[in-house]
Amino acid sequence: MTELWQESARALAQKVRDREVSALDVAEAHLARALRWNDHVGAFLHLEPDDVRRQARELDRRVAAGADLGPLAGVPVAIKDNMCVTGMPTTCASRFLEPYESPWDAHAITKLREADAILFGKTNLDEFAMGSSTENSAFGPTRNPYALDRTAGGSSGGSAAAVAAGLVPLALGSDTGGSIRQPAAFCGIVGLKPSYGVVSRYGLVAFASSLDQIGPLARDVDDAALLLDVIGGHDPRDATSSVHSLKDLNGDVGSLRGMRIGIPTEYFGEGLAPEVRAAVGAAHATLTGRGATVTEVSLPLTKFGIAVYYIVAPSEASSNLARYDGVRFGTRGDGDDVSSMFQTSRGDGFGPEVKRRILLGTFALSSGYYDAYYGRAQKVRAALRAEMEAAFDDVDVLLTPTTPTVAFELGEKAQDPLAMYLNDVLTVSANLCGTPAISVPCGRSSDGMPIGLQLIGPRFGEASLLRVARAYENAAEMGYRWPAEPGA
Amino acid sequence: MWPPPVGSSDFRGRLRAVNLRAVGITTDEVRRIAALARLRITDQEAESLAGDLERIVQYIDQLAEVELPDEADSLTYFDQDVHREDRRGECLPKEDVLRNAPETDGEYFVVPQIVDKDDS
Repeated sequence: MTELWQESARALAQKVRDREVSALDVAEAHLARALRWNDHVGAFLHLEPDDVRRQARELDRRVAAGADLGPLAGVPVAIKDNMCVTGMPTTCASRFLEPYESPWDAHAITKLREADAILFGKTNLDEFAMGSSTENSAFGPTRNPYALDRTAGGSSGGSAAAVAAGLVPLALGSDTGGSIRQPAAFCGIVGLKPSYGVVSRYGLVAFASSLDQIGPLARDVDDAALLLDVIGGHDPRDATSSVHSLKDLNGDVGSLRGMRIGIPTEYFGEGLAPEVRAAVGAAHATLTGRGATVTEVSLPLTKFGIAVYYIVAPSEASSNLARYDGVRFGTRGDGDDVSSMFQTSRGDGFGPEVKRRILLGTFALSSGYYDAYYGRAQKVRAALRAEMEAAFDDVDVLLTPTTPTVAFELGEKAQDPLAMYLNDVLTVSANLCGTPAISVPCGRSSDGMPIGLQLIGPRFGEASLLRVARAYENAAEMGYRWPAEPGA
Repeated sequence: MWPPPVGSSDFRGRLRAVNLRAVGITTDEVRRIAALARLRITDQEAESLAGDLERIVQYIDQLAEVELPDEADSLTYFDQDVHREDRRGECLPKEDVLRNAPETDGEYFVVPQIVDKDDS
């Protein structure tokens, strides 16, 4: 028998709408599992069972009153702890914001409430979303449900682990250089970074504003599409929120005849683990079997992506994080005058990676270096974008691996920032170019760790991206493999 | 053709340090940048950050190799008109705004003295 915590978000919402189960039943099933698992994986930073039950009971009263219910009726959704939710802390996994509770909801949260979702709790992340392993959390790392000595990825590691282990069917993440897709790949689930502008960032704590995007994590493509459909749409409170509306996200699983898929050869270079290469190779055959045509394309600027990213993102971060001064919110350090108070507040409140990036960004923007670093990076970024847009003249979707390797061990790269940065090499281009990209499970390594493939589409090409992802998922017939019970 | 041949170039870019601009990041330089960023760091942090930043900057220096036209574009994403009329909107109540502050007097944020008494 399928347990409630194993059901998809679609099935749960349908059961609640049909009064087959109550929202409270759904909540209790997920709470029991989350409370058992969280000590082992460290997925949640905030989980308040009574608050979850209160939301569920309130929804059940509306069900009983015959109210019209939203598309996520009774579905527990976990929220990465860099999005503002009233009534919950918003810490960004930082000591600086440990006492912070937002006076407003993020736009994506408002949409979840309107859709009748249950806001289940706040998930762990690298401090201010800066990292690729969730080891930069001030409150301890998230562990991979499939191997507790390995990373769940990052920065949305808590959201990915929670979905993978069945603590929730859906979670929100944010993706600045791969922070949804890489943990999704490491945890064997689906993670989608929408096109820049599709989801409002109002209430998302800003890291790098020309790159940040909110998106869904789910156990299958249809659930990810459902959540994207709920949170997307224009919001005047975010000036970068697009007026372009996405259509046909929930299409059928049809043939891929006529669909042109491009393989960028640069994504298969040295440094790619043989097992990842083989799994993505098998996916290529699966897609061809569905009628797609596959051609090689070349994106020679790909190898400069990390260098561009690690100028642009820290530069924007150094500016965005100037607001943490100990005056209006957060932790305040000692100081006889206001300047030394700023310095101690920031020095005490930020962890090592946040300091590193603030300094790198301040350096890249500082007088004498601006043209050589930030200015040059912006130009290479424009060239990278032009190169990718040209590729989409010939193909509809690009197929690549999501990560060079499967999940690495905790501590393996923690002392080597550059090695950690290079882990994002296959995901940063989609952020730099503003294009949508999705990671879909495509197999396992010999030691049982999940492998993800990445599909990248042209900007606002979510519909065809999801169509290919859905067709692949359906044809590959992988099924979902639940992690072993912890301590078993 | 599948799989594509293993590329001759590493997709991670050049990993070996080639210091094109010879920007040395010393502990003094780190302290200067930290002061610009209003960030207090310890001597030990300055030491380890100097090493980290040196390596990262050497890596990103490979951008100097990219051949670009003289008048290369710089990217901007604001490809829609985001201007609107200036109009009055709702604000958060004062108590909500002050609730998260480390120190207030109930009306204002309180900070250490900014202006010297002699200056007033």
